[in-house]
Amino acid sequence: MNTYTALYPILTIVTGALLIILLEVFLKKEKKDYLGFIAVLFLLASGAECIKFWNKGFSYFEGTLLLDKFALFFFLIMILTVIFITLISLKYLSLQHTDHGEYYGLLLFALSGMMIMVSSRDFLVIFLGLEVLSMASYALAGLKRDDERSSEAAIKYFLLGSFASAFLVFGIALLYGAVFSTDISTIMNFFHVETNFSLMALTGMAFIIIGFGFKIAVVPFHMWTPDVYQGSPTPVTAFFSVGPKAAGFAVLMRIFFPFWKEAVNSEIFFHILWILSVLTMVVGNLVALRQKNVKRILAYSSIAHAGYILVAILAGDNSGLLFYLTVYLFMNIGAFSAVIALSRKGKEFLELEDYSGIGFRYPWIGATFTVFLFSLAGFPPTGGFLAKFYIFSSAVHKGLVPLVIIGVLASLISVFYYLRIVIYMYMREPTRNVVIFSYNPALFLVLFLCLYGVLMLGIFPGNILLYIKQAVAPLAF
Amino acid sequence: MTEIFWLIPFIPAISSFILVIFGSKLPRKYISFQACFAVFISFAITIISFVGLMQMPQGSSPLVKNLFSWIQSGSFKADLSFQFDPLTAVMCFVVTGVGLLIHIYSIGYMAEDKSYARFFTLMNLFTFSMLILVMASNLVLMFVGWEGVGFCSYILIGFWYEKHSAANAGKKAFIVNRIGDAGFLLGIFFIFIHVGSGEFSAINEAIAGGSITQGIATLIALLLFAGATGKSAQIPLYVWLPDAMEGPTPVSALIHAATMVTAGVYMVARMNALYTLSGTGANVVAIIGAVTAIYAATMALVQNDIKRVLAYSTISQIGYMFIGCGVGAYAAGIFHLYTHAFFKSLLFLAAGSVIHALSGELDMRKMGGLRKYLPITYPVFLIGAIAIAGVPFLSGFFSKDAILTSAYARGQYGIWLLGILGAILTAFYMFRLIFLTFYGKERLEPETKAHLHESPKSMTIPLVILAFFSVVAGYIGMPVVLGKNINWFNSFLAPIIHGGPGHEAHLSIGTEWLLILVSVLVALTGIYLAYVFYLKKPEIPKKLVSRFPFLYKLLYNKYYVDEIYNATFVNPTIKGSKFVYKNFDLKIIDGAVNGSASATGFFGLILSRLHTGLIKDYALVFLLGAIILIGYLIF
Repeated sequence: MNTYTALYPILTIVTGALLIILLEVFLKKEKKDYLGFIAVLFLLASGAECIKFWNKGFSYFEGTLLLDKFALFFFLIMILTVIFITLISLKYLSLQHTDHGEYYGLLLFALSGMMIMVSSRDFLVIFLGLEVLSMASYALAGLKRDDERSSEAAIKYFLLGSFASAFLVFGIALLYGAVFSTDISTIMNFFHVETNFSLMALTGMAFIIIGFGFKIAVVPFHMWTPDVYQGSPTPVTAFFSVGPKAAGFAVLMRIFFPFWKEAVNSEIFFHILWILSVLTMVVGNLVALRQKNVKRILAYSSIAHAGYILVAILAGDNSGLLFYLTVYLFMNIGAFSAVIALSRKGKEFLELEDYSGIGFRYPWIGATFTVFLFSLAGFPPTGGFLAKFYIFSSAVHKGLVPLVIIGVLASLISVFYYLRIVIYMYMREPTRNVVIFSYNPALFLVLFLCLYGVLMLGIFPGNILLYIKQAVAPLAF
Repeated sequence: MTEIFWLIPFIPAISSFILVIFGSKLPRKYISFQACFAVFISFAITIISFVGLMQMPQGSSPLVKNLFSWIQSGSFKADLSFQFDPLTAVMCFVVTGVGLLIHIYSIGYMAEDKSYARFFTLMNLFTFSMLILVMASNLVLMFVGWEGVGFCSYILIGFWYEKHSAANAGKKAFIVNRIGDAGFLLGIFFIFIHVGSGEFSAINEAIAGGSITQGIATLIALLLFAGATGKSAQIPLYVWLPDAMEGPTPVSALIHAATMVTAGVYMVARMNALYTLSGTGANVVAIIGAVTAIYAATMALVQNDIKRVLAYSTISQIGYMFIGCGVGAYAAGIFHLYTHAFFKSLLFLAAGSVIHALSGELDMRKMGGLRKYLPITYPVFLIGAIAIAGVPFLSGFFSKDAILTSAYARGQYGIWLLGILGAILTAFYMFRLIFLTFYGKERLEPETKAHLHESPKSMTIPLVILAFFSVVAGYIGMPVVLGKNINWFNSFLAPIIHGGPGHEAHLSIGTEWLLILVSVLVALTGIYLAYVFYLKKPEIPKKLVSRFPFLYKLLYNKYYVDEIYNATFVNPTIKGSKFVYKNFDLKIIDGAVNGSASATGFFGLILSRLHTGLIKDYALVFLLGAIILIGYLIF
């Protein structure tokens, strides 16, 4: 395999994106679905290439492109995410009058950005990927052009996102000034060796944490999340809550995991992440309690989940983190799919009130949604339980008992708002006349696959853990 | 072909799964067809696997299929793996063979029921769980099956949950079983501590290798047996089984006669190396078995409910199986399990046919003279009764005789005597049932008499097949006195019995013949006494009752054990729980919970006020966060 074939997984996605945008012009309005299928084809092709590369390649373009198993695992997670998002969007777009064909192209561009982010060790390349992702994301958020909330989401995301990007790029510049490198391992090595850091290096590192903290929506850099999640088209929200987060965490893992190995000088960053993690878990869950809009509840819930995943970073439990992300993919996309399922032409049902009695009126959707909510809350035998269990138990082994106590209490609070939806679905008399458009095979396929994933990961986690163990091996050096 | 044996449990599982989802939409005919067909396939695979097993050379290791590692946590490991050895083969034959007949019988019996699909779903689910129990190659998976059958039993006892007594009976069965299961689970834990694995092969190796002391073995044996007393309805945890008769009759036949209640016997036989090592544990099993055998038989003497007589009879017969296992004659115990499955499910199903004919009447005082109305049910019922009474040349005779002879041969004369006494009682109460139901004056209610009819074919054909096997099933395990190597069953099971003292019974031919003669006499005496009491001189029972009112009341009220349990365990628990609920839970816990909940909500409200929706506020929070973070890093 030479340097250029190593680009195949990413190139396939970009080619797909360009092709879709080209074809968009020639397709009639009611034929835009085809673009979704084309996107899925390219996604599957790229996925197949990732699987083919699993036991091969390593480093290309002098380390700026890493195709280690870690990157490939993230590629696969993200490709799966985008496949799911494409499938749940097919009907949604025409029902909600947002059937712009470039949507699928934008999704693929965002994906290519994320893939660049996770497959590099160079901050500049990572930043490049991040910007590709961000540009596509801003457009995706504002896709419902005639909807005020959607445009508001796009503007808010764009302004605050640029703000964060500025921090990030400034941080990279400062670090370059201190270390003369943009390579993660060189920089982190610097923090190992030095005993007295210059102001420049510390500020640079802080800015980088802030920049990525924004992407993964860590409190207090999370303020954009609820509004953007609520305003964006629901499949896009599902995408935001999973894809960019996974990419952000992948970069944080590349930064911090090798670093924790030797305890020298790591306390200072450790404390910062500790505080961010606690804030994220507590604030995310507390605010979710007061929400009346299901999308907003899920937005705050995804903030809280970022807090739990930070615990995994602190505990140095890299396989636990990947497992959590995998489970999170299935349960969060599943939950959003259930929300999307409850919609009809020109109307989505998002208020808690709309959900009263749904469990009996639409038993299948109600039951699967319930499973996803139980998984998000962390009940056995779902994957959500095991994921939390792995993370919290490795944190306890690490001696992070207070953090785990806070985490468990926070997730206790989360049970309230997750189960509140279940209570509305099963224990309230219906107050509103909710009639949904129910012929949506692609969406039901995703619901089923997510259900399968959540339960399989909860009951038989063995197989996937095997691959995760392989995937995290490159981080150990 | 033998490798496919692991499919046996999954066919009913798939069928059950389909019925759960689509059951309410499918036509009734299809539902019953699918349910029966699934069990039939399992039965067919059992035959194929059995043939494969017979072709394997002597002394080859048992067939084990490890599907995948189910739980792996530290040193604790449990695989989803199945095994197929002679003991499993016998159990699979019983579960799928008898189970198939009972499934077919249910087509007719449940035809009128509104929850047809639910019934067959649960019957398939039960078959699946029971097969998991008997095919598991480790204790953890076996426990899954053990709990699975417990759950199915609970939910099938309460099948007609609108009936208050049925719902309560289900609950009682479940709770009583929990008590035993706690012991069982502790036993598994101890095995994991001392062996480090739940695989039966590893346990047997550890015992053979001497890494378990006798004291530990006794402890584990007794804990496991505690689970068996619950599941197999032995003293002191037998109280749930008579009440379980509230369930539909096919359920009583399948779960509470042929299969689930014998799980305890299977478990003891499976762990035979442990019980042999312990010695004390085996003795306890034998003593509990013997006492239960006779104790339950006495209660069966005076019951008027046709199914309850059979329930007590089941408890008593399982007692015999435990005698067999307890004295070290594991093959004899399993042999009785196997023959009992035929004649007891025959009796239950025939009783179900009677009940069906009488539009749901259970009270024998309102029956009588039915033999001319039920031309098929009557003879098969009679065959079942003769088989269980121990009259020669029917299956029950061979298996009961094998157990009692082994007890005698191993010097357990006390247990042998109890067994013989129990045998008289068995013959007596069974023929009391026959005479009260089929002979004598008709005591039918005019209403029921009008609807009197023989059952449909789907019910009578299984009855005839079961009757056939109740006669012939015993011929694979005939006593040694009739010829050398004639006991095929013993040699078939020999590989799973781990050599212990007195494996081969040594009795002179004369003694053996004498013992057989005693058994025969005992059976005939019991039958004759029943004949005198209930046909020839029906006034005798009444006289006896007025003569010994106390004894009659004691038996009729089942020794007041339910009342004693209620007074000593149940009521104090309920009262104590109520006290704790009112004083601790409502006041302290709820108070704390409500307090913290409103505090949490309050903080949530304050924090959500921060999310104003204005970009400038958002950027401000962002910036403040950044400043604090940088400040922290620098200073």
